[in-house]
Amino acid sequence: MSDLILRAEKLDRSFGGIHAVAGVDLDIRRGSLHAVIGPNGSGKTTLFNLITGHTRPGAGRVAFDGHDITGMPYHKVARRGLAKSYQITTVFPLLTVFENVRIAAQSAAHSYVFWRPADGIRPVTAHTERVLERIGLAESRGVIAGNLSHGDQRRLDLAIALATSPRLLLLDEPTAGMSPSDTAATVELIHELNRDVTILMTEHKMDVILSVADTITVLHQGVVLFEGGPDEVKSHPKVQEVYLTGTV
Amino acid sequence: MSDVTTDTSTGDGSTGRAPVTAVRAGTAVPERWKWGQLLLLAGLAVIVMFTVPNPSLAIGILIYGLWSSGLNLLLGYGGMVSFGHALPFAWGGYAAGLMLLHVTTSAWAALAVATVSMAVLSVGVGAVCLRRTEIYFSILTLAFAQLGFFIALQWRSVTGGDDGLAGIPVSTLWLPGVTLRLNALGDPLLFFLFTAAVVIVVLAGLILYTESPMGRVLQAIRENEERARGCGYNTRVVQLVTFVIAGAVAGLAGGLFAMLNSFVGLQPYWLLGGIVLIMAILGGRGSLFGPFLGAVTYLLLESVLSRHFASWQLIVGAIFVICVLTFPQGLWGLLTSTAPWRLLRRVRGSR
Repeated sequence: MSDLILRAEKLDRSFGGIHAVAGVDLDIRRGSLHAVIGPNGSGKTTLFNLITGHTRPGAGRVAFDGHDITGMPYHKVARRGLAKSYQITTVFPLLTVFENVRIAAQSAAHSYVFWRPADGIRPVTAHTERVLERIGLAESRGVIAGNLSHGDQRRLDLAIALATSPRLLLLDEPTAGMSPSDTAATVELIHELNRDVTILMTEHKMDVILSVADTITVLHQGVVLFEGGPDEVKSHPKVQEVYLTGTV
Repeated sequence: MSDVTTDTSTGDGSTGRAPVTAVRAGTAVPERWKWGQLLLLAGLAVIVMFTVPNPSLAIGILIYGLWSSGLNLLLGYGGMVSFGHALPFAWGGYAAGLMLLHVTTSAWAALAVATVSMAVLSVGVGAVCLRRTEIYFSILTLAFAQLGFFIALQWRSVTGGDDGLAGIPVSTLWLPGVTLRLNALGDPLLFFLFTAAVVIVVLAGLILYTESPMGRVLQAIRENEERARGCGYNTRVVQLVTFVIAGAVAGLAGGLFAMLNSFVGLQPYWLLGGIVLIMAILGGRGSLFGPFLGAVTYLLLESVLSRHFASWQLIVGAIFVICVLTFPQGLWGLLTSTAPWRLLRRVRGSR
């Protein structure tokens, strides 16, 4: 049990007549870089939402670090150390880059403090500086987040998730809409982050998946089609079939 | 409400400037002041004290400013538009009035009851209103205010109904060593100084709140609630605390207003939910001091114009429309973006 940071058992969810996720089991090993792939409509987003508590499962349960988090509200799941980076860039647009990250950094210890100025809490500001340094946004700390370039906003999105010191980081298509050079930089960053945080990600770009992930789960029509390492997935006939016929 | 500012900045961007400078130089992100706002308020109070000939109006400016500043905590910092902020103001007025009439003439006791009872009531009202967001939240706050209005109208034995509570006795103010009588007519200067002291202390508290970790989360929620939740914050709790603070401040302002006029009734109290919003927006949503500027401007316009025109509201309304269209960040945004120190800094920064 202690080897697994996240364990989803028999997760099930339908919307109307569509069985979006049908009895999915998912085990994430501590320290791994686990990818979930599948054609559009295969249930990736629903699976993520079931894990984060955005959607209540029809059946099944989710355990995070040994604790049952099934149906727990999102902010409580986040507080336990599960952070999410969004597919559509989600930052606090009118706040500075520094404040964006600082908000996330203070959540661990000082969330409901109202009797002392936030800027004077040294451990939080120091942690914020470290995260900005690591993500490569230290130069733009004073910039209003809405003024950043698209690529930098995606990095900021990641920085906010990272600043909460998560134990599991969910990345929903981290390179969506990025230029090839930004994509390469992000792939490198994901590799670097994986040294101390477990990552669960989805991605459409197969080359990105095959170069970063150590375990890949292939979803198709709400069920797990196959799970294995990058090489096994690449050569698996059923996966090839789904990707050749299913995406059209 | 934050959408309004975002729209303005993109609007500026289409005029040909680079987007970065557009948002920066435009009115989207006004200068943030912290404790300096206290000095500005003290300065404003001194100016009002020496220039406004009508003492009741001068004191009223401080009270309306306080009420509006508390509302701005919801409006500007929390992005929650309350149409029902007349409710806490009127509640505070009735609570303080009833205390002074029936229980004790102590100013401290009356104001404490007005503030604390409104805070308690706000927990319930806020818990209901915050179940919805945006316009639905606004409508719920309005519904509660209307509910309060009709209770005040019908429950004659307590509220005096149409006639209100008249003849509220002059309150006494116990300070260490001395006991003073807060008579707004007999000794307006003392009443003014007392009000100014209360207002400055409360503003200091509000500034501390907006600069604290929790107050900062409030601003993050305004920008993106989903993301704030993703950082582990129970956003409803933060919004409810803010709602209660804004309600308590309005209750305190209402209590002061009852003491100033020795009267509480339907007439001014319940009809000002829109006026206080105008003051906050006119003054500027980007700061806590801004609404005081809005209160000064509105009340001086009213007092000057109403002397000469029967339908002075038409003119005030037109001015308000023009202000919102030309500088949506209000007088505060206008001042801080054109003030000499800002220009100086920009020149230095570009070097």
